[in-house]
Amino acid sequence: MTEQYTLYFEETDADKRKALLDAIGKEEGDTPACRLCGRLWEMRYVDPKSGRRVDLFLWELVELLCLYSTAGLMKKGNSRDAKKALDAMGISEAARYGAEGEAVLYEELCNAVRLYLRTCDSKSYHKRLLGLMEMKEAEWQQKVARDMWRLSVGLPRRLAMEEEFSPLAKAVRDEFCRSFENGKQLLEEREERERRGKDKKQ
Amino acid sequence: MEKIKNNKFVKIVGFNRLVLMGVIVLLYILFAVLTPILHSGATFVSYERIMSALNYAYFIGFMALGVTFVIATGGIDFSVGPVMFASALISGFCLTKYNIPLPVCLLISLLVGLLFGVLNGYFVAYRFLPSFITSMASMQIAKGIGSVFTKTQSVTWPGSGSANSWYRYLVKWNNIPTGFILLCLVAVICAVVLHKTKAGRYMLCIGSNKEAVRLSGVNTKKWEMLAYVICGLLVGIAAIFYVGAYTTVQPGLGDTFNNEAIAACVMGGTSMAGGLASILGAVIGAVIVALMQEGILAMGFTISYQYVLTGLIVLAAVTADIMSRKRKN
Repeated sequence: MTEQYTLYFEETDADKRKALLDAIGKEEGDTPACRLCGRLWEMRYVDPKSGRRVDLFLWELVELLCLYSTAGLMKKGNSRDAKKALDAMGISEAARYGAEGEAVLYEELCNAVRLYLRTCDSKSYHKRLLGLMEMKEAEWQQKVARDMWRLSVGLPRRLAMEEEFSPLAKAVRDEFCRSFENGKQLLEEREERERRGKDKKQ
Repeated sequence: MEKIKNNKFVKIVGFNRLVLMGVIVLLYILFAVLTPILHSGATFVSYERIMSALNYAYFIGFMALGVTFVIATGGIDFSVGPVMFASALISGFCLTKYNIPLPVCLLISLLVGLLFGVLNGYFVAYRFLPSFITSMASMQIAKGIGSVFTKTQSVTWPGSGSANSWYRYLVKWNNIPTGFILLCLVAVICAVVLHKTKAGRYMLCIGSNKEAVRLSGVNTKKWEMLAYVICGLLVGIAAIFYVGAYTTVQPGLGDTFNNEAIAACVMGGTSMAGGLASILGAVIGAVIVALMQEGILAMGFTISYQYVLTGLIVLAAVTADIMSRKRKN
């Protein structure tokens, strides 16, 4: 990927990204990668019903996390909802573009995850117990790791949709490990804790 | 244990909810055994006792349902008890002093609850005031308004046999606990709203990560406020069921019911951190709280013991919630 693409995938502001994408289009012409980037941009930032500026990829990440808490109960309905969410994140769209499509989608999903991780720095995410207490750094890291584990391992496992989730799961894991020095260790600890919990129950 | 948890029925109802149902059965047996021992001549196993416990469960249940919506968004409402009393006092005063028709008075009760919901929601969502402070303030306002409106006099709604007593059928009709049927019906509607509608999904997601929801283009203020408005409406309904069961309302009271509603809600599995809520759990929690209240009275203890017990339940439920969060994180 060219430097311009790198800049495009690093940027999280929708308008700046649009400007960068337009510049790429002018320079490279109508390449499949540029076309897919444009399509994903539309899917992500334009509400199909109202045409309003939104961030549907970010919303789907939050929605998938909410789905995790009820995933064991209404498996059929939740699998349908998860499939819808993955489609809204352009997974089927990118599949049409082959390996190049996969690479573009991976970068786009990493971008969405990066933005999600930034929102975890907000005051409201740090609060606990009705907003009266604030989390310590270690506790906060574990909360973020829990969310990332649920998106990349927990939810796909619960819904038995590991294959469908694989592009998102990879992006979530990689981006988390890039953003947190001890990311890999946090995810492993999380996995170990889940496994130990299951062992105890058995 | 894993086998039980994987059972289809257990998965649908939820393991924790089934444990809570087990607690209800155990408490009933405990009170049935202890009541004749501690209070000679008294018995706990009777239809009247069950109906009396249910009378208490109705209004606590409606309040717990309302609080569930607020806690799901990561907030809290400490004003539910006094607002319920203010609703019952104002509407009852309109009925007895101004002879306003009963259906209109019932509507007034709902409106008062709704107004307090709008007030709380506006200050929390649009003015960014902590829900703890806002609801504490509106608790005082509700207590004050109820007293001022009725000139600090208690209000008695029409009793059985009078022309305007049909509202009591909402609670009990021909020995059938209609109140319980209505509570379950409202709980089903609440569950659908919370888990199957866009509004409910937004509320839960706000409790999970508000900033991410806001950045994704959702009007978080609107949906956060809606949670408080729904809570207010349900508190208005709770007021109708309170007067349906007890008829007399005294001004300046109601704050003790806050803890009971919150305890019922948290006991039922709603997380104090937001983002996770259980409607069925809130109803079961309300039944447990009501059963405890009835049991304590049946054993000959005063209502003060009920306050001690409710306080302990809140402490235990919140501690359990914090510990479970820590473990999960």
